[in-house]
Amino acid sequence: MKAPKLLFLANLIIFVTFMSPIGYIIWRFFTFSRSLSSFFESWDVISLFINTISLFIAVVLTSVFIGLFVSIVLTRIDIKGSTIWFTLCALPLVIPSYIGALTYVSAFSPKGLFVQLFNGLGLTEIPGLDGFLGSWIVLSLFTYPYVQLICSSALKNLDVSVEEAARSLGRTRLQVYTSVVLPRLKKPIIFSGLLVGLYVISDFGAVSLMRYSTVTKAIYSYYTFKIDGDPVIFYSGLLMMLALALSILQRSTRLARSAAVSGTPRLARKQEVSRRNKIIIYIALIGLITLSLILPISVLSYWLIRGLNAGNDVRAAFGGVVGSFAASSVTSIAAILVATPVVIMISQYRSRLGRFIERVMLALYGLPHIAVGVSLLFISIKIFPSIYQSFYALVISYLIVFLPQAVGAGEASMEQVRRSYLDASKGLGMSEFETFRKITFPLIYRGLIAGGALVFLSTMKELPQTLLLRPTGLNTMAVDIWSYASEGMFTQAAFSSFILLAISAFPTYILSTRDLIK
Amino acid sequence: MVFDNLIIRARDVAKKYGNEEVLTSFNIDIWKGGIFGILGMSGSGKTTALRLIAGFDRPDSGRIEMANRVLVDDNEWVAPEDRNIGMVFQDYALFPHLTVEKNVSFGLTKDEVKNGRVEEVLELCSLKAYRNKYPQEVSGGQQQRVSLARALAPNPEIILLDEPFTSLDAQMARDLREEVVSLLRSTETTAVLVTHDQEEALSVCDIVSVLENGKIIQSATPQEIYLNPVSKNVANSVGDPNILQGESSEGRVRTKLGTFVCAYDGQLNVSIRPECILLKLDSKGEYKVRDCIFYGHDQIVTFENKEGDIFRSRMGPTTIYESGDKVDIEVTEVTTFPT
Repeated sequence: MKAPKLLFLANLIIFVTFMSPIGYIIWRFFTFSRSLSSFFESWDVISLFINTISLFIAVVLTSVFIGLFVSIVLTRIDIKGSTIWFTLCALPLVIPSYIGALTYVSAFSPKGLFVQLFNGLGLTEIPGLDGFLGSWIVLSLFTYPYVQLICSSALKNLDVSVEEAARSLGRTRLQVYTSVVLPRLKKPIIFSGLLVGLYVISDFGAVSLMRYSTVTKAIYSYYTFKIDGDPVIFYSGLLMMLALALSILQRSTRLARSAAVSGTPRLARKQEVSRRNKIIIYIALIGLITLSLILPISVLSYWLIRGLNAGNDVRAAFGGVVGSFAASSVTSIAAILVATPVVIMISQYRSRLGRFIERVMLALYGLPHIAVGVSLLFISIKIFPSIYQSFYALVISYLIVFLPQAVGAGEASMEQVRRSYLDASKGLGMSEFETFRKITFPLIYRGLIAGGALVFLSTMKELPQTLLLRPTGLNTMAVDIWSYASEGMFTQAAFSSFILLAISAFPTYILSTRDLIK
Repeated sequence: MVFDNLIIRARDVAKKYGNEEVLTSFNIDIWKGGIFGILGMSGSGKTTALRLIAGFDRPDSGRIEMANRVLVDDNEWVAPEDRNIGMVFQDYALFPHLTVEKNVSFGLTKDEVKNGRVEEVLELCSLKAYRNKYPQEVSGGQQQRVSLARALAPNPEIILLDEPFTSLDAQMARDLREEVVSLLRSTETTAVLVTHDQEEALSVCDIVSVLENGKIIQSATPQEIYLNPVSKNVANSVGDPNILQGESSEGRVRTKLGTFVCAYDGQLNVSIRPECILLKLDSKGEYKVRDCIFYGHDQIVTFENKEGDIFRSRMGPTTIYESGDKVDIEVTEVTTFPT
């Protein structure tokens, strides 16, 4: 079936726009007026990359360790209230890294909250938590839920009779984990570890508040303080390539159902453990939740209450709320409109271009926001000055990073549109358009709306692109939180954080757990 | 066959899952070198019995012994990895991340591998050609062979087979069943086979134990079970007999299909297998054919008496019976048991 020319054209335009930031960066990357090698002459480049890579390794290992521990304990061991524990452990997922970092920075600054709390015990000053250590702790605490969710669902799908077989062949309960369970979890572990890794190298909010010099932080400071275009493009290019490599690697570890050879997997019955081990597990879980959930929320509450009591004016924060809603609504509606032709192309016409666009989008999912923002910024300055510093440039930039979510959310509903339905409809005398109106659209529109909702939430939390591209006068909650926190105005930051979490926490939790568990 | 060496003895074993009593008082004796069948409907607890013997679950009460060593009772517990019991799972449970060869060598020590045990077992189970394949890449029948080879490799005292042929199509199941049985016989491996398929149990096993409502209700040779079931339930689980009520006195029991010799007095159940009722077309016959299902090697003829009671007969394929035909009957053998 051939797609109408107009639809084909629309897809082509979307694809070209989608690819433009990468194209632009690559073009600039290889046309610098100075030689590429000259960038590597300064020690800066290498130390920045060492910083980014060492943070990547540290956070990925820690997250995988914590995430695996939580998922094994909560799916395989007989623990009271394991569903509640599971939710509590997964909840930090909804806290954006800059809010997490803000709570840790303010709690553990040299004379911060922690010191005040233990003043009576003679504690007057601590070294302060920032740099590598701070970034490592904060990013690990807010990314391990990805590993937890992906590995738990993989663990649940493992056929337990395989483990029983290993035991009847002489392996102890612990040996079964090293010889059968972990090898079969290899793919989910690598998959979720790389997901965390992508998050780490792209992160800007946490590392900037922790004053840890990574590539993302360098991009922003070159742009704002030194106003030097070449290094900004150079670093963005390198970051993009690193992210592309990771994301291709991640795509290639397909989460194949490697569980059962035949039949349906039988679920594991939960194992009894000794009282002593149970207590150790409870302590570990309580410790984890204290660090990743209770501490951030308590610190935010503290700042908020203290600020309100001191009569700090929080009305300024409402500007950010309005700005966030404006940007998010426009972006999500635009995302639905732009995703629709792609989805139609895939579902109704089985078009090769459609499939290709979908695959490229999914492969590029995880492009560092800051690099896309930089690219759009330079495109608008150098090629389309009319959209420089306009709302359009910001929305286009959002769309480029979030469109994969909108298209991806439609995937499940696209699969419902079977070729035979379309043929049957045509056989009953319906035209292409009538077939779309009566068959395709009713089947896909829910997926599109879900995708729009996802884009709405993501836009609301987005930080680096907003910082780079926002038109003068537009504030969002994310920008407010970050800039107040950078200046140590924690009350205002806490107020915006609360609103942001109140709006986004519940739907983010539902949508992301659904996606990751699938 | 003479059995002189007890391997597994289970006494008064009980197991509940939640509120459901799966085994109430399970007893069984398994002797060295034999193939033992546990026959039961789905849900009768037969898989649970195997899992308790293998040690994957712990009974609530009772005792299981293995060659005079207590495996489990109120005080003792031997972990499954220390029991030396092989298991062939219904869904094979092959390790998907290991090749056929690695699956087979999984339970072996380094020395055993060095001494060529893997080769031996692969040869025995005709798996040499598939050694480097992954389980997903070979057919269902081959997966079954791998599963058996893996269980046999460490030379277990006994092998437990949990419905090993149900995932295969009928022809494949029959071929493989013969192959597995001759393999077990030639290696003199003791085996317990759990199945819901009466034909499988009767044709393969030395001793068949019928499990119902969490208890073994009869353990005997296949012939004995088939010809002298101790209860209506056993009779029903092997074959599909006509069960009639009968009143017995002075050595004779009267039923709707005639009067037969009987040693007991009082109310009795009389079981007559379909193949023990021979039909003869006779226009003056007392019975009338209702319908007939033709299977090829035989046919099941349903007929009724004047009162409209319905019975079944199994006849050879040569005569054609049509609905409404009058027939006379001859009963060759009956079994009685108390109501």
